[in-house]
Amino acid sequence: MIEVKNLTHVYNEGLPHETKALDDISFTIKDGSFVGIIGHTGSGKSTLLQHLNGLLKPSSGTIVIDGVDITDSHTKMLDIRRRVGLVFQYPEYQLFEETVAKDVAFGPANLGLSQEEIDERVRRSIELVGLDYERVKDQSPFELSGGQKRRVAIAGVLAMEPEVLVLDEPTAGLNPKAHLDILDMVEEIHKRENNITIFVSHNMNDIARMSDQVLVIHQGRLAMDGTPAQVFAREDEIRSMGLALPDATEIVSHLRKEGMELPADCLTVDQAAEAIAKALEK
Amino acid sequence: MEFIRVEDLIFEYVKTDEGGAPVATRAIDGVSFNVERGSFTAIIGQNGSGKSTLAKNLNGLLLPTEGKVLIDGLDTSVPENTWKVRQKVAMVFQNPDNQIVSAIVEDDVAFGPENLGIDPAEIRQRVDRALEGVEMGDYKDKAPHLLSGGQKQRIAIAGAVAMEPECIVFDEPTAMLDPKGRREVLAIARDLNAKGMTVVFITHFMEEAACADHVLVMDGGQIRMEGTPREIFAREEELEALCLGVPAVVQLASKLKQRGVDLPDGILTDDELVRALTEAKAE
Repeated sequence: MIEVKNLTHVYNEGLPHETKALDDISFTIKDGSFVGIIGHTGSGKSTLLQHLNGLLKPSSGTIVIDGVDITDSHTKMLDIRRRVGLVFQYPEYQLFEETVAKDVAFGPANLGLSQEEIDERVRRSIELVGLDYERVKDQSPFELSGGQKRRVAIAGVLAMEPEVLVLDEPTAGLNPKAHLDILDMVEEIHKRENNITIFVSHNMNDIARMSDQVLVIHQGRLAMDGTPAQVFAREDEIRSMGLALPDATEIVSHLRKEGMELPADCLTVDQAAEAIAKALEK
Repeated sequence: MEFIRVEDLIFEYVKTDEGGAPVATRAIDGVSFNVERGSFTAIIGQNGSGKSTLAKNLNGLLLPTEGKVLIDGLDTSVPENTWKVRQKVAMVFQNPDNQIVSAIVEDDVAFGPENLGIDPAEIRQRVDRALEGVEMGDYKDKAPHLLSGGQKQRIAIAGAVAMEPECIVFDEPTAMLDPKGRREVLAIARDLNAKGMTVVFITHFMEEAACADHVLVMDGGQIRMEGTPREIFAREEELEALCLGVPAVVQLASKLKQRGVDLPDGILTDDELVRALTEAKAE
């Protein structure tokens, strides 16, 4: 379980350009949850993510993961990084080793594990991201396709066997097919590992379809915390924050304005089709 | 009238293998099409389909291995035409960080025209006009790295506009942007087109392709489908087979039809669906 309490982060504290990037944020994430984070560019999403694995320390407030306060100065950084794996945007730019296997091994090798254990983790992680271990292990990561590179980068984080996997826009820049493939992979990992998965996305269709819980960040504050249906039903607020609705929700909202009696919580094209067909039968 | 004419274009990238022997990979495999002057043409296709290679063949950044590319009648493979072709066709790429060269916004926009040897007074006017055109006039003395992705992409577009080309080829200009940045960039491309600029817009966002006059669908280096957005998005199954989708509104319309709702063919926008459904309801 993750408990974030009164988290506040001030950049350049005491300087003339002091900015409050996070302002008194509190939320709880239950074990096994799939959590979507949305917010306009500059809302504080990335600052929040960077607190979850200790890259940034809060100005005030606490983050407790499975009973361990990761904001406590006595907590070892390595311990935090083991618990929380953070996959940055465009993680493929961080690949650097000669071979895929070496790249994935970089994290676990720094944990002081035995060579056997490292090899085992590397194999397991590469398979978890849907790549053929035997085929790719000795290849240069730079010779792979864009989608495959991203998988290798994610495998490097999974090899740390984190309890919490955090992904910052895992599908940015990918075409429709690769986009779906990566999301399927993330879902599959979530199912198999049954960890907490947190992802940031601008794609509201993905957020609506995949999340159990959605956190909406606006101007450094937690503006909403609920299920996708609860969050996207507050359409006027969502719009006023410069965010979009899922495509299906948007169309249904048009129809409701035209006087059609439809539920406000249609999140997918299938749900919308069913509700509209039903409304027309009446 | 056609502005771009592509005839039986074949393009091969040549790499050398470990033994030093050349190995050719065919990225474009026999493509022919025309782009009308003043039109808005979208090119869609998955990664590796040849879209970007095609884009780079449209202003002579790459030259045909076989076949011809004619820009306003000028053959790109004739060396004397290179600079004329580049003046007629400007490019905007996916990553704005890779195409911004200066530390100040207006210097960056002036970079292209300066290289054309244009009179400084004329450059000043062009830069101001181009920045106003993308609504970035207030940022002319700012540093590009402090701008958002969408703003940076608008600067890159202003740099292209300042060259006063007749056509701009956009190679996935919105792929790295957030939804707001995407809307801004698409709106600017449409605005330029409305003022007479020929636009070629490569994208993998189907909603963006739906705004075009004409859509080309690429796969495996070939054009697999060509037509108006209405014609293209009516062929949902073929698009899915090419790992592409259709806009959500098109999906919804087709699912409703499957459920027996009587809707006209070719619904492409939310407004069209809403209108059709309110009519269906009234009956």
